[in-house]
Amino acid sequence: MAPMSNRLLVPRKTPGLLDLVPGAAAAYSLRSLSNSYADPVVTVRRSSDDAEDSFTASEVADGTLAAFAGAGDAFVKQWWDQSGNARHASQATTTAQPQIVDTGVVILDDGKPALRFDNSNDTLVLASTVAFSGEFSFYSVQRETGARLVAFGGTVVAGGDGSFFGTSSGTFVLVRNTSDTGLTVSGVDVSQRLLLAAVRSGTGTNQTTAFLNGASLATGTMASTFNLRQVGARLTVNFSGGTLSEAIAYAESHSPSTRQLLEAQIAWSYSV
Amino acid sequence: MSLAAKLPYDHPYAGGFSGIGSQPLPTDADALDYLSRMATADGAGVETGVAVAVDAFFRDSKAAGVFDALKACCILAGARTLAGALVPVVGDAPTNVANGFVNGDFSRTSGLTGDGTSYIDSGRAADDDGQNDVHLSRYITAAGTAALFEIHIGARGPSGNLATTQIGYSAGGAFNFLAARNESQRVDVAGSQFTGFAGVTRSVSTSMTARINGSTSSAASTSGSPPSIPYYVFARNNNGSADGLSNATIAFYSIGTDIGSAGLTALDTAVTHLINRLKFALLVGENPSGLDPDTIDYIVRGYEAGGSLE
Repeated sequence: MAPMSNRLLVPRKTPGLLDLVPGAAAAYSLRSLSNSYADPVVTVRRSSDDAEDSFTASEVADGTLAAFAGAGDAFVKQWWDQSGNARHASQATTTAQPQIVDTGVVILDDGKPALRFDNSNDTLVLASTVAFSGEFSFYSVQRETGARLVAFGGTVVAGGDGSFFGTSSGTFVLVRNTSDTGLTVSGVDVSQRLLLAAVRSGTGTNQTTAFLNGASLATGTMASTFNLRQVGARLTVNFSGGTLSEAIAYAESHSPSTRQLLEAQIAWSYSV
Repeated sequence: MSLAAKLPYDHPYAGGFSGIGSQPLPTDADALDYLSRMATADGAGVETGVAVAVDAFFRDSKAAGVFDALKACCILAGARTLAGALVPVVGDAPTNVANGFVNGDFSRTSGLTGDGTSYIDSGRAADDDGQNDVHLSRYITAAGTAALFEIHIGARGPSGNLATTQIGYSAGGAFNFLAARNESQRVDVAGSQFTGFAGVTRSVSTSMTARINGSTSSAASTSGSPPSIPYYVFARNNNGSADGLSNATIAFYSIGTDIGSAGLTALDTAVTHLINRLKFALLVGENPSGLDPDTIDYIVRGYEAGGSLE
């Protein structure tokens, strides 16, 4: 073996979120969530001529996306699922696509790229519903500026009004429908960028806990299946206003140590 | 802004994440003890930025030599809930009398707002400290509006023994009054009810010193023997009954032994910086560690005026 002085020391790359805790059911972000992920994170339509192109996380951050948009706006046609499950969230209707570039500048929330939802009709839709009937762990980085910010939403459900993970007018919300109120916790300052998490270990009493910025917010019961079908809205009426930087879902209940590891990776990645 | 500064100070990764970043954490042993007791009452540890602000207060007050004089003290801001705010920094624990205050009266950035009927029993009797060895202080973020007079903190003995120690405001006379062991021989400062820090201290039988609105003055004052009744906050304990109830917003109070004129100034500085750092941590969402206090004050005033750094 060569002496230490002759060896090249290569800094170890910081693990991505999905390198630390793999196995997500769906994972949306504008950063690479694992070091091996090389696909685009978004497919974008620019306003000047409706041309479309896809961009990696690096290209979102290094000016390539902004250059594509030129002096105009750009909107997200597809938010790529980085989990490996190909559960991409898409929107073909141009007027319902969330915005990512505003007059030539990538939209940032506290210095980090984010999708902006217009509080009117923007939403991205999965090809099929992902049903979380038992355990799950959800995470999001978001800021509400309208009436609500739905990180994960369900589509129309017979007899109910769909699933909702996010915030609504100062309230943390994790519900399924009107017959399952789940967890709703008021008093949340939604004007700030928030790190939300929800962990359900089962559908029984007090098996679901909400977390805000790494601190336990409330424990309660959510008995119904959470149906993930949309990002940025629930049904055709509850649309988001605000920014969403990241939304990740696991079909498993995370232990406190795993949750804290993910919270820390997210929190530190989104610090400026 | 920074999500990392919002992580609870006792989160296992609050201090940093390998390869991404790091931030200062509270380290003062007494501050950590206080933060731990507060977390128990709140149900969760406060954000790292808030914890660092608290830690700085402990350090500042110790460096100024006034910390040991705090015998009953509460930071009525910063905590996640009213229960956390009523955890004593040191010493005697307060009582929310008849549970008059509710969470809706509590603001993490401004403190606890009185309603004209609720008050806190500080748990510390006026005669727990020497006749000539006493201090009292409070920090208010919003003035009260009582019609005649209001007491922010105080205790008054029976008729014939008015060795009163109190800080309050006379709306009828339009002056602030500060007394230590003598109700009438005190410091009066004309004007509106001053927000911010105010305090009184006494070390001798012949005079007392007061500080309010950034100015310190002394008055000839003969001390009397203090009554054996606890100080009230948001009111005065008038020989066993609450009077002079205040609807001001109080963010801090302290009761204890004499801290001297220099100590009053030092405590003013430490508490003012504390409140600004708490506001900075909560309004801006950043860790205030290492930032110049004047910079923090400037930024906080900008946020309170509706602005932001974004």
